[in-house]
Amino acid sequence: MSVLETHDVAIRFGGLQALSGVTLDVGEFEIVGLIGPNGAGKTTAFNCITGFYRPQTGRIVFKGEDVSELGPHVRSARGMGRTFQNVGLVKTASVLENMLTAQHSNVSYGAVAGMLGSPSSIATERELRARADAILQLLHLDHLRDLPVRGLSYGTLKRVEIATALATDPDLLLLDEPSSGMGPEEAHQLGDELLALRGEFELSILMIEHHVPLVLRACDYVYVLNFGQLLTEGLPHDVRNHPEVVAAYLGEEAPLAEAEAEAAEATR
Amino acid sequence: MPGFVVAQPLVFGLANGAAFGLVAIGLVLIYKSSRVFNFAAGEFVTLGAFGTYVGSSVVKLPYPLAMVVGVLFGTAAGLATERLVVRPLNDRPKVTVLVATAAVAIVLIPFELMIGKVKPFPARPAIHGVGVKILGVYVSPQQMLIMLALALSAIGLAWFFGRTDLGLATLATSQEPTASRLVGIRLNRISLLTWGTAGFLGGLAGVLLPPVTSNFTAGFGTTSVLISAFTAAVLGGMTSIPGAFVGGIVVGIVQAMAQFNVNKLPGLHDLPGPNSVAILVVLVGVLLVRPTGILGKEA
Amino acid sequence: MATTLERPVEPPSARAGTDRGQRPSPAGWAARGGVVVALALISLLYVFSNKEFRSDALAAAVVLAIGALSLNVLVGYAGQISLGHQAFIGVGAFTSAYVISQSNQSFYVGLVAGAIVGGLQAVVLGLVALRVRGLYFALVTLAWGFVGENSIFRSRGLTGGGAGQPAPRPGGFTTDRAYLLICVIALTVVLLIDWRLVASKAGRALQAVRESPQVAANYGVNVRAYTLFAFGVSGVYAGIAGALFASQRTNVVAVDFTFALIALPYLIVTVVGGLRRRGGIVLFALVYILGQQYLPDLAKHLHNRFIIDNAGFVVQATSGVLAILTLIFQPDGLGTVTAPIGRWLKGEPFVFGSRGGAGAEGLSVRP
Repeated sequence: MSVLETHDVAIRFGGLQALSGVTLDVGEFEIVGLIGPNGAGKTTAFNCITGFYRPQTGRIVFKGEDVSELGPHVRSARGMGRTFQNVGLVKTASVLENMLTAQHSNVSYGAVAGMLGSPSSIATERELRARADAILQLLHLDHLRDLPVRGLSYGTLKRVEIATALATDPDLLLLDEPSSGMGPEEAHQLGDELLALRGEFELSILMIEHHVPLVLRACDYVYVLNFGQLLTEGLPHDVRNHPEVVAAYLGEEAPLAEAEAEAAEATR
Repeated sequence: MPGFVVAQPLVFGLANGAAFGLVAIGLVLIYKSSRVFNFAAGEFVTLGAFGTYVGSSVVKLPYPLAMVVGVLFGTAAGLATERLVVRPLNDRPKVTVLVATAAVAIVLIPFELMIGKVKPFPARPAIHGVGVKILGVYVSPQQMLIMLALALSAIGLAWFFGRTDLGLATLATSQEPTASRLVGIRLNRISLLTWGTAGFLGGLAGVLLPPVTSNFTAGFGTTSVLISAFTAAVLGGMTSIPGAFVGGIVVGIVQAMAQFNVNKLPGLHDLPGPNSVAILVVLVGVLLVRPTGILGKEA
Repeated sequence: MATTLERPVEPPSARAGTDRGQRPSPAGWAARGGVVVALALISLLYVFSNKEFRSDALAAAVVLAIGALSLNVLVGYAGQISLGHQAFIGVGAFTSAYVISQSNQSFYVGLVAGAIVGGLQAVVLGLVALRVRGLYFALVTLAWGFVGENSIFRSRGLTGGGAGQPAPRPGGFTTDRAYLLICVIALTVVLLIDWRLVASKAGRALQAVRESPQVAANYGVNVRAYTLFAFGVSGVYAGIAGALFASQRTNVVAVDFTFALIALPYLIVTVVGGLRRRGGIVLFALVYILGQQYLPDLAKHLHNRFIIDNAGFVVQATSGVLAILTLIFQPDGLGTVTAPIGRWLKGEPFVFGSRGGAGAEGLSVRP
C-alpha cells in the first residue's frame, strides 16, 4: 500500500513552469530518494506535497485520502513530518521547546484548557516532556535539551530538525537535504541512522538528497527530477547509471564520479 | 439624493486634504528611503501649529515670521527624531522603529499639554478677508493658501527627486542601500534630509491647517491628522509622491462628505464621528482590495 | 527505547548551559519564602497605613497592568501590533457599564460581559489582521481606535453620550480599599492564566507563529486560528481591564478612552515593562501610576508649582523617553530585573540578565 501518491502535479509561478506531470509513489516503510540538479523543482515538489504550495493541477493522496485541499498544518497533523533545506526551527526557543511545539497535533487538551491550567493539561505536559526526552536521547541530542536553537551549528540543527519532525509523530518523513552541513563520513552514518529510525518509528521516508552514497545506502527507490519533470525512476543503482541522469548532472560538479569514490571509501 | 450637500464639503475637503497630502508626502519620503512608518508625523504638525502660536501670541512676532517659526519647529522635530531615535535603531525590525516614533509622540503630547492644558489654542489666519465665492460657497484665503502650499510642495519635490543629484541619491538609497554606500552616498545625511523634509512638510501643514477652524488643541496632529495622512499615503501605494498628493485630497473630501452627509442616510442620522468611520472603511477597503494602493505602483 | 544509533554530535561541555538538578537547600527555599511574605506584608502595610485614595490609585495601576498584559499578548506573544487599545479597553468598560446600569445586572455579570464583548471585537479585528500584514495592520488598529473613541463611545444609546454611563461597584466592595481587592484578585487570575498560556500548547504555538508561520504550520499549528486566538485572549484581558476601569471610575465617559490617554501609555508600559515579561509589566504599571501620585508630594518639597500641577504629564513624557531608551538599549525592559528574581523564586540560582539567547528577542512583527 502506498503512503504517498502524487498524481500529475503541476505548478507554475508566473511564466515559470516549476513542476509538470510529477507522479510519484512512496510505499509503506519505503525510503524513497528524490534527486536532481539544482533548480529541478525538488523543494517545490515538497512544498506541494506538504501543502505550502497549491498545485494548479494534480492530486496529492496521503494514506489513501486526497489531501490536495488541506492546509499544511492539517497535513502535518495527519502524519507528514518535514524538514527544511535551510532549517525550520523556532530559533528563539530551546531544543526542548521546539520538541514540545512539534507535538502540537498530538496534545490532547484544548488551547483554552491549557490556559486555564486544567489538571489533564498539566499531566499531559509531563508526558510531552517525557516523549521529547526519549526522542532526543534516541538521537543522542539530549545534552542539547535546554540550549537555545540559535547558536547551534548547522549540522547539529539538521539533526535537531529530524528530532522535531519525529516529534510530530509522522507516518511519512520528508527530509530536505538531511546531510547538508555534514561531512562525507557523517552523511554515510546518517544512512544507517535513517534505516534504524524507519524501524523504530515505523516510517516511510521521502528525501531530497545530493549525497549519492547516502542515497545508495538508504533508498529503496529513486525518482529523478529535471526541469520540473520526472526524468526517470528506478532502483538506486540502476538510476545512477542511467545515461540521461548522467547527462542531466553534466555541467554540475560531476557528483556521481565523486560519489563513487566516496562510496568506495566508505564501504572499504 | 435629497438634502445632500456637495459644494461645501468639497471646499472643506480640498483644504483639509491638502494638509493631509503635505503630511502624507512626508510619510512617503520616509517610507521610500527607509521602509519606516513614522508615527511621530502627527506631532510634527502640532509643533508647527504650536510654533506659530508661540511666535505670534507669546513672542509677538509679525505673523509671517511666526509662520516661519512654526515651520522651523516642525523641521527641528523631524531632524531630532531622526538623530536621537531613528538612527540608533537603524538595524532593528521596522516595527521597533514604528513603536519608537509613536513614543516620540508620547513624549511630545504631554509637553504640549503642560503648557497649553486641554483648552484649544487660538489660531488666526495668515490672510484676512472674506474669500471668493465658488459654486455658491465661500472659499477663505487660508483654504486657498493650503492648496497652493500643497501644489508648490508637490511640484518642488517632484523636481527635487526627478532632477537634482541629491534627490536621485535619496531614491537610490531606497532601492539599493548597500550599493548606494559603495558609490559614496552618505546614508546618514540622506536619512537626515528625508526626516528634515518630512518635519518641514508636517510643520507647514501645522502652520496652515489650524486657522481654517480658528483653533487647535495639544496633540491634534496625532489625533486628527496622522491617520488621515497615512490613509492618503496608503491610497497612493505608500511610495508615490503624486499618489500621496492625490490621496490626501481624496481622503479630505471623503471625510468632509462623510461629516456633512452621513447623517442624512437612513438609519445613520445620529452616528457620531462619521469621518473616523469613513477613514476606517477607506483604509481597510484599500488594504483588503488593493494593497498596492489605488494611485501608486508599489506597496 | 533501545537503539543501534550512536554518535554524539556536540562535546559534553555544551551541558554547561543547563541548570537542571541544582535545587536550592531548605535554607534557600526559606529565603525565597521570606521574600514573598515580606513583599506581601509591605503591600498590605502600604494599603492600610495610607489614605484611602491611595488604594484607588493602586486599583488604577492594577487596571493599567491588566491592559498592558492584554497588549503584551498581541505584541509580545503573537507578533501583532495594536495602536488602538483605547477601543479594546473602552469596549469592555462601556459593555460592563451598560450591562450594570441599563440591564440591571450585577457587577460580576458586567465583568463577564465586558470580557466576552472585548474578546469578540478583538477577534473581528484579528480577521482583518489575517489579510493585512505587518506595519499596514498597525494603521488599521490606529483607525479602529479612533472609531471607538470618536464614534462608538459617543453613541448616545450605548454610552449615555456626554453624561456617560454609570458603573457602580459591587455591593460590599464600594470603598476604594475593598475595590482594590477585587482588582488584585482579577490581576492574579489574569497572571495565572497568562502563565499557563505561555507554558502550554497555545503559548508555544504562538511563539512559533510569531517567528515563522511556515515552521508553525509544519509543526501542525493552525496559524490563522492561533492568530485569532491571540486576538481573542488579548480582547478578553482588555475587556476585564475595561470593566474594572469602569467601576473604578464608577462612571465612564468617552473622553476617558483616547489615543493619548490609553493607547499610547498602555503601549509604553508594555514596552518599558518588557515584552513577554509579566513581572516587568506589572512593576512598571505600578511605577507609572504611583509616580503620578507621589511626584506632586515630591514637588511640594521642592516648591515646584509646575510639577505639582503637571505630575501626570511629567510621568507620561518621562515614560516615553524611557520607552525610547528601552527600545534602543534594553529590549527586555524592566524584565531584565524582574525575570531573574522570578527565576530565583522558582528555585533556580540567581543569574542577572536574560536567559540564554531566548531572551532579548525584542519587538518583532510578522512580515
